[in-house]
Amino acid sequence: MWTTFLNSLKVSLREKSAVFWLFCFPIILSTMFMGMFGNISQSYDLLTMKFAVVADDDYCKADAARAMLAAMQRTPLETCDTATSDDVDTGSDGLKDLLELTAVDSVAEATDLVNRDTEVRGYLEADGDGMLRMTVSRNTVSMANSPNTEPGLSVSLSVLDSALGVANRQGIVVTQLLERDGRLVQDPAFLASLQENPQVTREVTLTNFRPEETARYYYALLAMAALMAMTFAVTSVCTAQANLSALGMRRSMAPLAKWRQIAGGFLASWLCTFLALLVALAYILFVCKVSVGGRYAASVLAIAVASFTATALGTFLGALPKLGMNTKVSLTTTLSCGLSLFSGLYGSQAMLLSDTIQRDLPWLAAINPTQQVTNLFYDILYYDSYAPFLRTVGILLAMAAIALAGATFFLRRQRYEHL
Amino acid sequence: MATTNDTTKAANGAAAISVTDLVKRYGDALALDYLDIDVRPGEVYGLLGPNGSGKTTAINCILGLLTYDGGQVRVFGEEMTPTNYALKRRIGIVPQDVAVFNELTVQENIDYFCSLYVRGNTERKRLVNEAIDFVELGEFRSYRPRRLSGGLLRRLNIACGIVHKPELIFFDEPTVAVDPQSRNRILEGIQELNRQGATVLYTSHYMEEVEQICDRIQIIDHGRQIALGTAEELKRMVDAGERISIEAPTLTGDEAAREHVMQTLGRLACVRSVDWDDGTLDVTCEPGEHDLIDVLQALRTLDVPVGHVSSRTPTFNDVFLALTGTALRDN
Repeated sequence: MWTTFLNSLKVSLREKSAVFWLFCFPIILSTMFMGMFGNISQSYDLLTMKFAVVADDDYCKADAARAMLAAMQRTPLETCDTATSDDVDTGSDGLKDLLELTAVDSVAEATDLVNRDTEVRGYLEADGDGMLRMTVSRNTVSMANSPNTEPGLSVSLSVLDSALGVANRQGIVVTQLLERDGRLVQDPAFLASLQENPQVTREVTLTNFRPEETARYYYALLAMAALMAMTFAVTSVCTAQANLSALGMRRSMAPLAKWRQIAGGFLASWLCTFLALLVALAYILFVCKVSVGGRYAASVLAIAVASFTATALGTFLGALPKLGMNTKVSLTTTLSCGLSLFSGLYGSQAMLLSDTIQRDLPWLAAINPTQQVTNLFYDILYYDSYAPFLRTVGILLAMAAIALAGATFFLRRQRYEHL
Repeated sequence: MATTNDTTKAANGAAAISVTDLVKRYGDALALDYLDIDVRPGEVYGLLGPNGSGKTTAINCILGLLTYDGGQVRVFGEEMTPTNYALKRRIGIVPQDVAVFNELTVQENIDYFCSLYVRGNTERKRLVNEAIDFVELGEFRSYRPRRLSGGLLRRLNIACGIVHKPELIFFDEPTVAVDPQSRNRILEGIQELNRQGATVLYTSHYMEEVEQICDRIQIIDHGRQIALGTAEELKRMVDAGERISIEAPTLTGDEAAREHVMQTLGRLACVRSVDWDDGTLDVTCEPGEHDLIDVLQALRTLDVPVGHVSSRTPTFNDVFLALTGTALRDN
């Protein structure tokens, strides 16, 4: 069995097409995903935007506006002969790098700067009432409307616009209150309330790890790779079957129990599948930066279970009677690609289909190995408890047990099959 | 034929292969029809038959790869079962299709198949080297099969089948699609194995090969035995005579003279038939030692000028066709 194991290992790892499809293809697809999905996640990242600020008299008088802008820029801006504080609390650390301001003396100068330097998105100015106004260049508008050009620009502009809107509204309210009751200026409680930063919205994590919309695609890719790796086992079984190949006939005549030959091939196929998936997982984790929430040991266990089930299913396919080896290999590819549709690999509509099946036809999802392999990683990432993960492991091991029982049945029957 | 068959049946106790009344059906089709095969230890036994005659089915039944519907199969006096490992160790097979791993080198392939029979590394290494030397693949040890020519591939196929030094070797058309040099080397190798003590069951479509290396030949068709014996016995069995071709250009334009000559020759005791084919007389004779002399003497008496003369004794191919017919079998 040991020599058969070593031999099968050599054969599998030297088979160029298998190495390409099972080791290289998942990496290529992951890289494509990274390119496609990278923009999606980056589009939510805030950029540091260059803006001109018109430091005229109105701006110098608008203390509140200056304080707010100071809170949103990395480097304090020295204007109006008064150093603005850069330690103003905006309530969020994320806005500290939003702006990089350049002081100009007039709107005309600001316009000129914007026209000269395309990296300057626009300019900010204060009116006589201390309200801030933002003007954005035509080029910036165009780029913001095309998210692939500069991901994150659109959302950064929106954040700045919202911040200015909130500040302006607050300024109007304070001005109106003081006009009605000038004594409020001396009311410590009122002044304290102006400096308060109400936490209207806060981020709460309900899952084990911050959800990543795109991670599921990578998990579905791992599932497809696992199913494609059934080829290892299919080939291994077929080359041990006297009715499928001359090689199988020669091996059947050897004084070595058939189960030992099959078992040697099974172990080699399992190891090859495990290695292929491990390489894909490592690439996805460390190159594509898809997270498993730090649960690396569980991820490797998931790979071991997925590869075991895939090998068992491959053994079953390989043992099917009355089908040639090429037919079985084609069937393997068809199954892995077909079932991946229902685990959401092929885009948002497929993901929707996958969710619908899981919600409305859970038994159908339960018998789809690609869905269950996808779920393995989903369970690792999103659940605090390992219970869902272990349940999925149980489902996959049950599938493997059924497949192995079926394979044993067919292989025993084919001991004397027609050649 | 009956005499030879009875003789081999009487030697069952010592038979390397003993098949008696073997019946195998595929649905309604009868593949083997009460077939008997007896291979004596130490002989090269040829199993011949047209495509679909039942050769491969018979071999697979003997090897235990197929069940059969009736009869008895014994190899070295034992029943061949999938778990009779002691018996399997004594057998080697060289299938018609090259049965090696394309991803392994020549040496790795031979070593793997040897490892299925031999446990010890030292012993295995020795056997692998011997097998490589035997088939003269020493300089190709590190080659993968796809880099080997057809002849070298066949030799690798043989090395994988004989590396464990089996006592009984099945060669199923081992020289298909190889050049004459490689074929000759393979046939010499089989004879050498036989000289070293191996019993060989050999199937081939090349009649001259079978005639060259087989001690006895069994011809089967439609799952039944047609003939059994040495090549000479089989030739005598079909009673095939000499064929003489004689150029007679003067008879071409003279139909009356030609007819007279043909009738005269046809009356000779040794002549079976006379045909005229584009300036040439084709004379088929009874088996005999002086056929050509008799025919030429008759032509001289008739004063017929003779051009090129050729005489062909019956080949084993003629025997095979006479016994199995000339109808195509793959249709």
